[in-house]
Amino acid sequence: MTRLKTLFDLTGRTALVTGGSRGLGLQICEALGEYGAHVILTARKADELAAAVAHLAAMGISASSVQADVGQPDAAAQVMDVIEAEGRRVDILVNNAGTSWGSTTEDMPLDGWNKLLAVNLTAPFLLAQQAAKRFMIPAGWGRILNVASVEGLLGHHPRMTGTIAYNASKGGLINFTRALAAEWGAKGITANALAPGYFPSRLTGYVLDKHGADLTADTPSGRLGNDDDLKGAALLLVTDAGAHITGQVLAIDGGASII
Amino acid sequence: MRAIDGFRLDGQVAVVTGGGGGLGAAGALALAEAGADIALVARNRAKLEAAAQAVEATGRRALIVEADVADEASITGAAEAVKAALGRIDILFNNAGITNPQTVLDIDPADFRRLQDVNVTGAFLTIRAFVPGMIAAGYGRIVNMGSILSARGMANRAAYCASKAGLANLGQACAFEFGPHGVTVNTLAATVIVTDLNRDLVRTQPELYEAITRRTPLGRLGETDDLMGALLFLSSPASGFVTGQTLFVDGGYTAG
Repeated sequence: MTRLKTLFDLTGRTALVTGGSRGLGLQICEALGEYGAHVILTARKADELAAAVAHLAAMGISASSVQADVGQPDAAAQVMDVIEAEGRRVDILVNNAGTSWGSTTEDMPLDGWNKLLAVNLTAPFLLAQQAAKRFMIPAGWGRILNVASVEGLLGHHPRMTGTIAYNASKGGLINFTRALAAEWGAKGITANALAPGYFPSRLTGYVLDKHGADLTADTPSGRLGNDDDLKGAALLLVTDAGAHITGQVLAIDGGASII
Repeated sequence: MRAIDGFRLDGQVAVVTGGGGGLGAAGALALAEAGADIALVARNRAKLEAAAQAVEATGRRALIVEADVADEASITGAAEAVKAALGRIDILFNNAGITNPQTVLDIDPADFRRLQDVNVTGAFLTIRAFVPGMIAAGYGRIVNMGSILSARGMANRAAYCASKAGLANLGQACAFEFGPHGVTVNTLAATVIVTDLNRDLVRTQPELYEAITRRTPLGRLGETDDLMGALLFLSSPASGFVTGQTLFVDGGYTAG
């Protein structure tokens, strides 16, 4: 009883969750908030942020938001400025914001590639850099959780339209995670990645409409991800329960990636 | 499901194999604290008495079953004894294992085979004995005890390396077969864990372990407590969509 409570307790911690207003990000906010963290959400749309903060507050979770497009190069510093000005800090950084781009590789435009990498890979770098310099390294404690994807572990399904930039960005995010872990371990900061499989969301709607049955059939657990599936893993990797876990990537995909 | 409830094991029964080293006892206690009744399975009852008392002190039931995981009749009998006494089986922590510090050229092939018998075939037989109850219930959590040597090599550990890599991939195969029945199978892969068996050695001869600690971003070996969060996660409803995975609790050893 006591062990469960202390191992996963986040009372007094503050977590910044990018793309926290819906989907996987909101699910992670719920989990961290239920275990006592104050959660700060970023997203591009003010109305969706307000709705998410209200949703979390209704669950009894302490939450606030900063409107930002993390794909912009100055966004990381600006978000941290707002957090500092509000007298808050970042103990836990969850790099969840992400975007996708379906295109065959031969037709993938360079500006689309660059935009996607800015959100999926450059933003986690800049946010980690800012959070570590301002908060985690001085405190000697920090947790970075990068939301990658099974698409960062494997190539795309051969029957589906290509997502070359997405696969490249998520593969990059996974090894970025290992490199961060190796570099910042001595500073008391852990860095880990989640690799979700397919979860119904606005991002995956098109793919799941077309290929959902095939993807489910190829998954040992025989289903897609749900609104709770990331919660336990996220908690493990940002609490004392995960104190000696760093540089790891955990697939949460019902076994789909072990084929 | 509220996240706060995801790690609870109330009303469940967990089987923990292996008596030596302290990890089985620590794992049993953590699972009991989360609400599970515990069956402790090992060859020597005397080694389990203290662990059983610690479980009972949490208010949960503890059952000691003497059995040899490498002996099919013995472990099958253990499964029947657990079912008879505790009524169900939700969690299997396959922790029983042995090691051998000899080189490839020095190890007696009989010792190599004996190690595979316990570490791989023992886990296989234990899974075969306990999983039918999980499949019938449509729910189960199997956690196989792995190691950084599930995925990395090391001198003087060839037999152990082979066994732990084999066990991890046995887990992936089991994940496929049991997934449709709500049973997940994962590997908890630890760095060197400081226990009562090696604590003095770690203190007096740290150079033996330096090859590991100097490559570990978090700069130290593991303690049994380091594993409890991951064990609870992989043993609980919270990990329902995680299967066939090897989760390293190693201070980043495998990331560097």
